[in-house]
Amino acid sequence: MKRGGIDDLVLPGGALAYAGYYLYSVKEFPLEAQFTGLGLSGLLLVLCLIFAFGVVRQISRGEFEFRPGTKLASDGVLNRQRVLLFLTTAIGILFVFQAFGFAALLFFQVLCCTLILGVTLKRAMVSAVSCTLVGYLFFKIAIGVRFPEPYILTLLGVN
Amino acid sequence: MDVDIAVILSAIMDSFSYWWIVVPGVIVGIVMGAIPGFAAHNTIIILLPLTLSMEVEPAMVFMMSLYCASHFGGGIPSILMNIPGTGGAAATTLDGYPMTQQGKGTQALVLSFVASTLSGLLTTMVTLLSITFLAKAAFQVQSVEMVVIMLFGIALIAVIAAEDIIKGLIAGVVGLLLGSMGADHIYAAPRGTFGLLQLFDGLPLVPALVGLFAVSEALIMIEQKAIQKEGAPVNRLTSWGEIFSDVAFALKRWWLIVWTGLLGLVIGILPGAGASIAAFVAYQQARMFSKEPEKFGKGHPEGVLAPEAANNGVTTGTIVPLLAIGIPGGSTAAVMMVVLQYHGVPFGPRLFVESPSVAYGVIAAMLAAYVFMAILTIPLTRYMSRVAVVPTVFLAPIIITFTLIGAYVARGMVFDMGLALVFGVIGYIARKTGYNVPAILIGVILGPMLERSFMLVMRLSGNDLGHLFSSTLGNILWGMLVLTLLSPLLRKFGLGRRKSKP
Repeated sequence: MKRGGIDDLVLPGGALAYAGYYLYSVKEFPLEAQFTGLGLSGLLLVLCLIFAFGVVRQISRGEFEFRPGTKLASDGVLNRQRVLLFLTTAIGILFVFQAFGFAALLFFQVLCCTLILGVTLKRAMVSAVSCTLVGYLFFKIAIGVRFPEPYILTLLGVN
Repeated sequence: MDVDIAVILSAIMDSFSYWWIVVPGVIVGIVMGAIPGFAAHNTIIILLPLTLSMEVEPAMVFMMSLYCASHFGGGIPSILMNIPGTGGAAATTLDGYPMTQQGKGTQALVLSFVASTLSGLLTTMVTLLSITFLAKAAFQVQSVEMVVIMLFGIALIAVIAAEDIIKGLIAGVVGLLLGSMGADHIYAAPRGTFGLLQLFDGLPLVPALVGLFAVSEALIMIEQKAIQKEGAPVNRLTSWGEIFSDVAFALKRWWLIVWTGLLGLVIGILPGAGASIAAFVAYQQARMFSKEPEKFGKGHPEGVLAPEAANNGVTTGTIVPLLAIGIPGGSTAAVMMVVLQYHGVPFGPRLFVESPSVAYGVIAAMLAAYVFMAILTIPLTRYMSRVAVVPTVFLAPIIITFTLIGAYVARGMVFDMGLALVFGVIGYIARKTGYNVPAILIGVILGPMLERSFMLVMRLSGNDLGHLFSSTLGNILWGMLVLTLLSPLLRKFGLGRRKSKP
């Protein structure tokens, strides 16, 4: 049975890259201000070296999976759904929320995400409308959260 | 600052007479606490204007009810959806969520509520009677001890919650590194912010919590039809008899609740240490002294009782330094300080001399809040646990949408929603590859506090690292830290020797 895999290296690899960037961002500072970066990056490096030692042992025993995605993206359908959920949410935040406002984001997000996950249009609509109503009543009416003015609606003079 | 029993009794009676304020405070607090991102201090800030028109006593009663209830409510999504409502509820996910997956969601909720209520009542009574003594304990802990306590917290989480200790420690250090992002404490220059002004004040906690737990959980949740695993007992509406037997089950373990609650109270008193460390320490202690330690992490009831009791012990503890010495023990206590200031109430020992009814009233209000919480929440557990059978095709989109709004609300920045999404990806990678997500979150929470204490030690000692080993209490804590890190090796060695015996 394969215990480790190339996917296990994504997080430590990313963390080491960030630690390198962190140290670069403090290189102009006095030594006292570099303590945190040096200490934490050093600690991370030591831990990653110990981890790498374990990886080498797994490779030597044939317990390491070199094929990427075995842990992170093993199912094709689910992967497609996850990517679409991520993209929909990104579009929702970057465009729908700022252009059409909070209620539109709730409706768009719930409708698109439920459709992506394979729910029928009718049930997705019911779910999106009820969530929009509940969200509006809770966030806007009950606790009075102030959301940004939607710019397209402001331009059209609807707001 | 002598203890006046008559004043205490009158404060308790008064706080119960404000039931009409306590009940709405408790309901709003539980709902807000159950939404990831709505931390107790945010809830209080949002509802602060409501209290400004009130007299000081009802205002404080309302605030305390909100405060206790929002900590209490944080355990609900931890158990039902593996998403802690607050950082302090992260340890509850370890056994609470597996119980829900096994179709024991109602039992887990009942255990959580009984532990929270009992611990809350006990620690409140202890605080009322010994606040002067408890305040002195807070003075004993200096920056050196704080550094070790925080490192100890990270190590403990890595050892108890992660399957692989090295991966757990890497997760903790990644969290610390991310938590150290932002302006330098001495020179105020930005570090590791990618030039983003929104990160200048440091990494915001709410988007990190929402992303690491809620978004990543939603992305993983879609792999199954419902939270409750297939093959688990059919999730019918639990009978009242079963609920009462769950209450009795929790009450039989009163000793565990008592000592983990008191542990939470003591840790809560230390400024900055907070519920996140206390809950994990309590979990580890409960596992260590349990007759069935191997069942922890797989849905063991004691794994829910211990962290929830500690979490609610901390709730009372953080108020102690504020009332007794005028130093807020955490962000929520700092907000409470603003409310007191607005009403012209003095802090520290003067508070007990000039306004004893307010001083004891603040703590007594917690007592009333816990009593009403028990009455209101235990009957609701029958219905709350039904969330475990809601199809994930509906649940996942709702979780993503509502928690992202929660990420926005804390600072009112659209940027934070994007940040939560990024943390969602980090959380997803961590979960899939076996890196402990609570360890990352606790690292993010403790990062800035650890750095502040560390820099203080360096400044006071003229950059002498040896100063970290200069105090007796600190050295005891260092010893415990080393033992914690070595405990998996020692356990393995012990098992090996036992196996090798004929």
